[in-house]
Amino acid sequence: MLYLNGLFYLISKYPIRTFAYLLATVVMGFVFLAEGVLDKKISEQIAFKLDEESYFTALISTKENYNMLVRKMIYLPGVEKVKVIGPEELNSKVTKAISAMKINIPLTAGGLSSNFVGMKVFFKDGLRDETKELVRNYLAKLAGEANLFLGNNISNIELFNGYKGIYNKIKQLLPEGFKLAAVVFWLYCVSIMRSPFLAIFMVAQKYQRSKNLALKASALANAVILGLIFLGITMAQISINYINLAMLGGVIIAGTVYMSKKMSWV
Amino acid sequence: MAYKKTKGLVMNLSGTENQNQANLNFSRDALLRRNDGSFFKLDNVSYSYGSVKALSQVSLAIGRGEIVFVTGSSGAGKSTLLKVLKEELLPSSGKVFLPKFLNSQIFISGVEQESDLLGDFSCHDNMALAYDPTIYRRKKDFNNDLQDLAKYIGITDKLDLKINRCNGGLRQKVAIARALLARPDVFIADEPTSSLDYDSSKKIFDILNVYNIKRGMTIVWASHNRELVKRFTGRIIHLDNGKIIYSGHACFI
Repeated sequence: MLYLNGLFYLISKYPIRTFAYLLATVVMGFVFLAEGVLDKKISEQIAFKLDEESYFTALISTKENYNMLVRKMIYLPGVEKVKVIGPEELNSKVTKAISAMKINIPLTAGGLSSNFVGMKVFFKDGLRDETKELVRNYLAKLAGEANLFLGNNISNIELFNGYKGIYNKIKQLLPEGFKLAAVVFWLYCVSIMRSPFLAIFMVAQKYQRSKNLALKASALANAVILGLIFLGITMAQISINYINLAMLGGVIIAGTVYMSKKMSWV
Repeated sequence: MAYKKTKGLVMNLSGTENQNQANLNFSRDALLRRNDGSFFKLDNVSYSYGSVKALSQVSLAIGRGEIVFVTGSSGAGKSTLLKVLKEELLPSSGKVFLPKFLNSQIFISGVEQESDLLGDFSCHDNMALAYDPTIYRRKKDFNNDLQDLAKYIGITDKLDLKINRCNGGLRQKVAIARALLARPDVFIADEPTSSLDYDSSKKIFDILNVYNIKRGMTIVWASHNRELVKRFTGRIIHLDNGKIIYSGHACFI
């Protein structure tokens, strides 16, 4: 009852600090104990968006029926999709490339853009180089080598793997970052709560027969809050990581002692 | 300054290492056997703040249920003496016998020169901090005591006032009431009525007298105002430069 009275005084006199402290304790308890739920949420929120991409481009003479070529290419098992680059787009790309080289070549009607259409053929993921070569040969056979310019195979697999590695690292480190942030926030709340807490319980202790009043009150408050979180997590059937539980216990004990003891360097 | 605390007893540890060893030949039982029934007993106690000697070879005995006034000018060593009695300071040398050697349940409370009242709290809330469920059967009993005390010392209408807004006199009254609400066995007060007029001081003394008679509470009251305490009933110990120069009842001064 004595501890409850003291805690009630704290809530009534310092509502913001007390609320911040309770919130920080609940957040820290949740971050440590319900790590599985947190991992799942993180995976959902920062899903990996970059697709693995592997393709080649081709310039096909407008004399060929490129629509028929596109249809035939799409039905190949190793091809994901085929994108046609129309004369305007092709023209702008060529102009851009030429201006980048700083060469003055006039592109007039009857030039490159009006004689060719572009085609971008995307391969399916994980295709072997031999298979890709077969696809290219098939296109060359369909269009005729005289009517076709084939570009090199381009793949973003290295970029994809690089980003995926970073993504996995972030996914792995983010829960640890959350834990660290929760501990720092909790310790900050402990430090702002410590002064009124000590003032009340140290003064109260002078007029009570009980010893270590502040320590007992602080330990009781933390134990009750964490007990409720533990109960809630157990009822929600979330599996608890016991290493995290031990870490949380260590942090709480350190914070409890810091909160309830007058420190001296002497 | 060297000191050691062994089995709750304060040992004399002044001088050289050899002297220290010799002085450690005391035991709790030996002190209890030597005790003549005194509640507090100081034997040649000295205390220094660095090179400044606050207490010098002080010997005194205070019996259970006794009322003792410690007088002396500022800097005479009154506060230091009270701190030694409260076991807040361990003497540089000498022997100290404390009430808790007789009974570990003995509870000492009181007021200090610098009030430890909580400024953001009302007078009532400060007094309510003294509610100890181990001595009050019900909260109602505590509240009745609180109201009775408040009524007697004339602060009933000021109970909701925050300490920050109270004057020095009111703060002293609240501090004294809070100490008494803890129902101590020993009440040690350092200048408890320095901001109060004679009538208010008399009222406080009357209350302490009632606690002394009804509950056998031992009272040690330090004051620089010897004229005031001479009007009260009790033994006066007069300190000067850390030495006791007089100990006796006011009527014999």
